[in-house]
This record gives sequence, structure tokens and C-alpha cells, in this order.
Amino acid sequence: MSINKEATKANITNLLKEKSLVKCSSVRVIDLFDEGILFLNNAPQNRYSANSTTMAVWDLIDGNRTSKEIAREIALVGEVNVIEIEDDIYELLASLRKLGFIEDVKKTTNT
Amino acid sequence: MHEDNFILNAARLNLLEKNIAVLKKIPKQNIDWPLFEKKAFAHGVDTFIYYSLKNHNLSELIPPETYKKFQEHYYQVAYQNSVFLDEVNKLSAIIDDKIVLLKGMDLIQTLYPNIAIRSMVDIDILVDSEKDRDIWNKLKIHGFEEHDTEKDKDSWDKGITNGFAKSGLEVAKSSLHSTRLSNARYRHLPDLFNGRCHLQVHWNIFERPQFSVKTKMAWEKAIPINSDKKIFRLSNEFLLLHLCSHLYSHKHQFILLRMLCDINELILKQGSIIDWNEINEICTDSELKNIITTALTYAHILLNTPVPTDFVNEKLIIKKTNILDSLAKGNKRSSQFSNYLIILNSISKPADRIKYVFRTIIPVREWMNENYHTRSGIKLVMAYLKYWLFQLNTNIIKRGIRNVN
Repeated sequence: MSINKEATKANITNLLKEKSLVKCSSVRVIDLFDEGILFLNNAPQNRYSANSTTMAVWDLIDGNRTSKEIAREIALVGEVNVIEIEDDIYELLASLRKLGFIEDVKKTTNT
Repeated sequence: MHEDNFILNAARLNLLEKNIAVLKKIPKQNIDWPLFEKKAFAHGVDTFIYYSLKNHNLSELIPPETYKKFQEHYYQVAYQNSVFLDEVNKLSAIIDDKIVLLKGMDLIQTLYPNIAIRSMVDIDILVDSEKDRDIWNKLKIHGFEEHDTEKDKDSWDKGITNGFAKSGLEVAKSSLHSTRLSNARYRHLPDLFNGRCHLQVHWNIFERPQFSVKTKMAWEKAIPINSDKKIFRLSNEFLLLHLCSHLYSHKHQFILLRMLCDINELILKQGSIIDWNEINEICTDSELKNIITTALTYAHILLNTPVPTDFVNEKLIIKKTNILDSLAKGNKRSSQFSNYLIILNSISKPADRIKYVFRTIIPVREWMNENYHTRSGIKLVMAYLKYWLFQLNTNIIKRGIRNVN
């Protein structure tokens, strides 16, 4: 299954664009450079192919960047206006989150 | 014909202008696409074709459904190979000694740009020949089980196997047969399987026992590929020799185009640093030189691999129009008798040779019991008669009887 197909079905309303995103620890990525394969360690039978855009977005998910920042950076690299692509990026991030590959960064409190 | 031409020009990492020109020139309506797919899959090069067409923006040269099938298999190979890589890491935790990765397991890490291009069915490792049994037994303690591949394949090996013992770990016609069988029949110990991958533990990278001294050289020259210096790869020269030798060993059964692609890509990538003088020195034995030259000539003729002229001899191979079909079918195999002579010649002591011949004619009782389900008395005598008749039929009259039972 392609992640991009999933993205068209994803609901982006739950994606908090100001929140930082982080890769889940149980996710496995096979990087084929211009494309890749993602799956969860506990469900290797459900593998998703990722195109070059998805892999570019994936590389930017580092636990610090927010969805908005990721969209901005992709626009910068692609030399397009962020408005043209941001919805697609949010859809993609929403689908990655729905599939359990990424999650919101949880706040840690210092005691 | 067009299918072969398309495959031979597309099954490579980098397409040259002339390859692209040929691919574009082939009339697409004349290609039998189901046959094309079948051949590409059978030769293990569908992943190469997918990769090269995608990278050169030429995916429209094949039907979308074919492209999709190749793409799906490409992803499957990537996943399967990632499982193999995990298993290799586990192996290095089980085996305390140096291990050398062979064939696909090395190539996906050091030759190919990603792990989806080169499919494989098992992990091959070379270990110290002094410790091969210990390592094999240790792996069995750690979750691997002996896997009888003989049950799975209908190959000429069965003919040999029925004349000898199966694995060298079972009952043989004599202790000498057991050793010789393990020396000549196998370059590796019996296959292992742990539920996730098949593993072959090799002690020799060449097909002939007399070349095991070359394996020692390969062992010494192996290069570490990880920081703790436990996992190694063959030097480029020995890697090339091993790939050629492996291809030659399959010559009588089948040759996969993928085997030639490995040789082609290795020479294209490392050609400038491969020491051909060293290869020449290693190939002082004319039989080994012949093996290497045959494999390199195939690569040169089919894939236009740049091979030094002294390693090309077009007389060694038979050119046919449907070359991929003829590769897949293999050449006429050498007879069991000639294989027997090879084993016999590899025995150095004359007394052992006599014993070997004697025990071929009169195998030990345990072997007869095992193979003919006899115990003693007249049944045993009858079993010997049956055995001699079988040998007579197979090797002298050559009626092609395969099973002793």
C-alpha cells in the first residue's frame, strides 16, 4: 500500500500544526534513497511504500519541527509557495500519524 | 527474441546511451509482455529493470501493469533483504570468530546502491575450515535446524547423492566417502534454517576441493566491513573469482542472468582497482582459469562487460538465439562417472584411493542397511546385487535410473 493513497483518505483536522512531531520508536524504515518502505516492528506484514516526497518529509521529522515548519522547508526545497503544498503535506503527516509511524511530541515536566 | 534483447539491455544499474537507444528502438507491439515478465522474474532481474527504467525516467517503455509488478517485487526484495541483514547481525552475536559474507549478502551492502535491487534466497557465509563443524553445531544450538534442501529440488545432485551419502553427517559408504563427499559434493555444510532464513556455512568458495588452498588465501585477504572486525567481505579479486566459480557450478543446471549482472556490476564499479595480475596469479591452475574465463566470457558477450582479452574465449560458450532460455536450461551436465573421477583424483594417498574404489563397489553394511532397508543374510546379498545393477545401469549402460530404492 502506498502512503500517498492513505494520505488522500486521512483526516487532517486532528493534526495540530503547531505541535512538534516525532517518529515512533517501533517504526522501521527501509531507505531506498528516492523511495522507501515503512512498517511497524510488530506488524511487518503491513508495509507501506513511500515516494520521494514522503521520504523528504520523513527526514524532516525530528522531534523539533512542527507540521508547519516541515511544510515550509519542503516548499523552500521545492521552490514553490508554501500555500500550494501545505495541505498535501498536512494530509501526508496526518496519514503517517494515523498509521502509527509518528506521534506528537509529549511534553516533559521537570520536577 | 525481442524480450531477451530488452532484458539484456535493461538489466543493469546504469543505462548507457546505446542501451537506451536499443530499448527505444525495440517495437513494443512485438514484445510478448507476459513472456517478458516471466523471463525477467525467472532470471532474477526484474528488480534491476525496475530500478534502471525508473532512474532513467523510462518507465513508459514497459506496460504500467508490468512496471507495477516489478515495483511490488522490488519492495518485497527490500523487505526480505532487511530481514536477512537483521539475521546477519544476530549471526555475528552467535559466532565468536570471523565470518566472511558471500554473494548476495555482501553485494547488497557493498556493490548495489540499495537493498531492493539484488534478490537472494539465503545467507551464505564463509568460516574457518578448521572450525566449520563447531560453528555449524553452535548455530544448531541457537535456533537453526538442519534443512533438507534435497527434498525440495529436483536436481542432478540426487543422482550423485544416491551413489554416495547425503550430507557427510549421515551414514556413508565408508568414512573416506563421508569425508570426500563433504569435500567434493559440498562447499558448505548442510543447509540450516531458523524459521526466517536459510543459511549455508561454507568452508570453500570454489567448486573443486583442490582449490581449497585458494580459499585460504581468500580468507586471509578478506576485508572487515564492520567496526568490531567480525564480519568481513572478500577482496574484489576473490569476490570476482567466487562469483565466476559459482556461476560455473550452475552451468549444468541453469545460469541466472542475475549472476552475470553481479559480475558485470562488480567489474563496472571496481574494474579500475581490480588487480587482474593477481587474478592471473591465482588462476595458475588451468581448470580454474577455464572456469573463470567461461563466466567472464558469458558476461562479456551478453552484457558487454569490459573484461581483459586474456579472460575471454568465445569458443567456451555456445551462442544461441534464445539465449535466456538456454541459460535457464543449463548445459549438458558432466556424467556421474566424471564427477566420481574428480573426487577420486582429489584423494592424495594411493591406499586411500584403493579403499575409496573398494568401498564404492562394496559399501559398508550400515550404508546398505540404511539405503536398502536390509539387516543381514540373503537380503543383504540381494541388496548388494541390486546396488551393483543400479551402478551398472546408471554409469555403464546409462539408462538414467536415478533411485537406488
